[in-house]
Amino acid sequence: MRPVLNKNVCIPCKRNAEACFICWLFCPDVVITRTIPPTIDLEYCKGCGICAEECPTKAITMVDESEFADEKDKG
Amino acid sequence: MHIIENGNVAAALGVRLCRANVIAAYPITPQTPVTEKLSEWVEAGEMKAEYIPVESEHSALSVCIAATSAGARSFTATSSNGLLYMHEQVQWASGARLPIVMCVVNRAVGAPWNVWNDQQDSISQRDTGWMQMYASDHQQIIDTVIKAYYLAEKTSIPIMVCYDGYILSHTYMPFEVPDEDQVNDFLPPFRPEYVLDPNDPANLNTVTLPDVRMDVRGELAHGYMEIRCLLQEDLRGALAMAAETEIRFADIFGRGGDPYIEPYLCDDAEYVAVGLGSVTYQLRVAVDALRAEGMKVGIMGVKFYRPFPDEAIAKALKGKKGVIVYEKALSYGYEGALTSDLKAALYDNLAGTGSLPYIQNYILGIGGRDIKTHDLTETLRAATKGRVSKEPVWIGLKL
Amino acid sequence: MQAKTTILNLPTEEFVQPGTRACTGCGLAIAYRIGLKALGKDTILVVPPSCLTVLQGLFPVASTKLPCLNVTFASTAAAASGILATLRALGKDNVKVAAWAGDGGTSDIGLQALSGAAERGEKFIYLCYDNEGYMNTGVQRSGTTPIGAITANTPLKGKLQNKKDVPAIMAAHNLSYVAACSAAYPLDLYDKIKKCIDMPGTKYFHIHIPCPPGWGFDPRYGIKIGRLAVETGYYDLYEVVNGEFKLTAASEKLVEKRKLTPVRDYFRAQSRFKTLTEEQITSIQQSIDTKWAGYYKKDEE
Repeated sequence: MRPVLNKNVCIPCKRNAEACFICWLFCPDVVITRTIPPTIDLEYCKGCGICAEECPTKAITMVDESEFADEKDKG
Repeated sequence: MHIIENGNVAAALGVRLCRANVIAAYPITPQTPVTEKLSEWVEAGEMKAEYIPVESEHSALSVCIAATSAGARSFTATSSNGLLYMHEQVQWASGARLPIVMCVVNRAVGAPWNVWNDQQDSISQRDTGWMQMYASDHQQIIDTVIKAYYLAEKTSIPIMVCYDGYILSHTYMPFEVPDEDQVNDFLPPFRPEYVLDPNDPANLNTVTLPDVRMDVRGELAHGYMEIRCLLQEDLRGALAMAAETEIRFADIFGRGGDPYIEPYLCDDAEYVAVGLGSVTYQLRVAVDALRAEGMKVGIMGVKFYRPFPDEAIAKALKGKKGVIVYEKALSYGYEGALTSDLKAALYDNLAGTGSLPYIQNYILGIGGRDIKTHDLTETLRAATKGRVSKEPVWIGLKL
Repeated sequence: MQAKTTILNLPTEEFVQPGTRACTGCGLAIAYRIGLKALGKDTILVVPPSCLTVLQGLFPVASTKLPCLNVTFASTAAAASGILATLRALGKDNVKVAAWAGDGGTSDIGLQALSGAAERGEKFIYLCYDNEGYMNTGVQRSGTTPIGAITANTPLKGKLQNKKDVPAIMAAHNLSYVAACSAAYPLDLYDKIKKCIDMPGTKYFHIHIPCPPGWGFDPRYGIKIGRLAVETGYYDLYEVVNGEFKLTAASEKLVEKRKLTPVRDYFRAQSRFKTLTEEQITSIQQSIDTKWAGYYKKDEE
């Protein structure tokens, strides 16, 4: 499972200002940046889904890796 | 300065002169007076050290491990079950390559309880990767503590300085206390290679895997096996450093001799008694008596037990007819540990040369059982006639 | 009274790097990350065998950016004492010491050394991260495993004994500061560390850590489960400052709200409690209600 961010729903993105960042706070693996928009380092993300669960606007959804099967292998 | 004091005070004086700056203390008979004396000096401001009265021996060595990892010159002392309780930490300290000096005031181990002297405590720690040095009188106690800090810090290997409980710890003898200036000359300030420092963070003693792994620069780092092999290599190499230490000590303090053994009338002896610690001095009375009868007997006291100076010992015993080992401990299920080590050393170095002596193992003084000069004389005499028994013979037993 | 830290003014400097060996969704990883922000750069860490040992990585790579001494299981607080002694001996006043140990390493094998250090007034922060079992070795029961929890060595009946109340034991040492925190409330943890850091003697932290594999829930619900523990009044966030007890953060708010979520919701969300009977749950609910009746009464005074 990998997290996918919908910038249209993400609070700091919509406001274009420092706000929320709950995903950054709770990420156990320090892979979400505290930026606008937040970015997620998929190399180190473990797919726990805490960011998706805690996001107040459900801007992050966990998507099965198989949906990205045609992407080049990130190795 | 010449004084008359007990063995525990001699040890404490050595620690004070070496300016240990972290002392961990937990009471157990008969070493307690060592750290009590240190606490007196620390509280009076005569010794500048942090004194931590911990809640167990395991914690005592834990404090030393952590303190030395942070850059201090640390010290603790223990005996018997205290040493056994810290066994996990004993293994840890050598594996972590920390130059801790610990006095082990030799005492019998439980069960059952016994507070008197034998050497089962330190002998049981033989294989842990610590160096072990045995003192036979108070001068040797204070001198060995000072040598130990130098040797430990040169090699990054911890050292046990062992001396007999009650027989040495609580008796009074005259000995020379070196000058502070001489000790400062002999022992430079402690400069650790790895230290806990926020300005240069390191993660010490992490988890290793069976095989080697790459570090963040892409270079292969040592694996567990390499780290442990280096401990072994450096221990064997410490034999040479021990000899250097002895020479350096003699240069500055005017006292010295063989770094590994203390021979007495050994050169022309046909039969040599061997032991660790004060029993080797008690044996002198027996040897003198037998010499007066014309028997060619001598003593080889072993000062340096680990790393085992096998070559030096084999050289000293080459061509002797018999070796009689007096031990205050044994490897239960077989024989005296020193006896086994001697056999291995002689076999390795002398097999096939036609100059292998027989070896007789005597067990004595267990749990502080009195060692009578008469028994020493007669058992030594008996062993000059040939090996008394393949199994160790227990002296003074009342089965 | 210091202002509560918010997400937006929480320092951004990280002291843990991505790529730890923690499990997916590990509650400790969250508490540790935020806790280190509060401790800051001039800290030496002490870590006994535990999930954290593994989290930090395998030699020769480490994910923590602070100096750290790995020590044996029973010796955490003694090791902290040793480092403190050296810092005093060398005059390094600005460096602090923080020990992070698991519940097994604290309530069981580490309790002796911790008690000794606390009694001696050793000036360090001891943080017990309580995932309620020996999780690193495969989920065995510890002194702080709650009653009824299925573990690898309480596999059929669940633990028969109650959870050992370690913060209460530590509070009995007359410490300047004792805190009960949760990974689900990281800002509360941050503020508490910041508050007590210069207080004298040993400061004890007990941090509730939701553990997905050990407790039996989908990793994404870690924070929710941690919150449920607090909202049911089952696990309380509090501090004991020089002997004075005070509920904090969400627990403090519950006193005002006068409404607790039924503890059944907390138990039914984790497969480790699947053998808890209705009777047991009712009994536990009653204990919680009694405890909170006491809080409400105190609040009225």
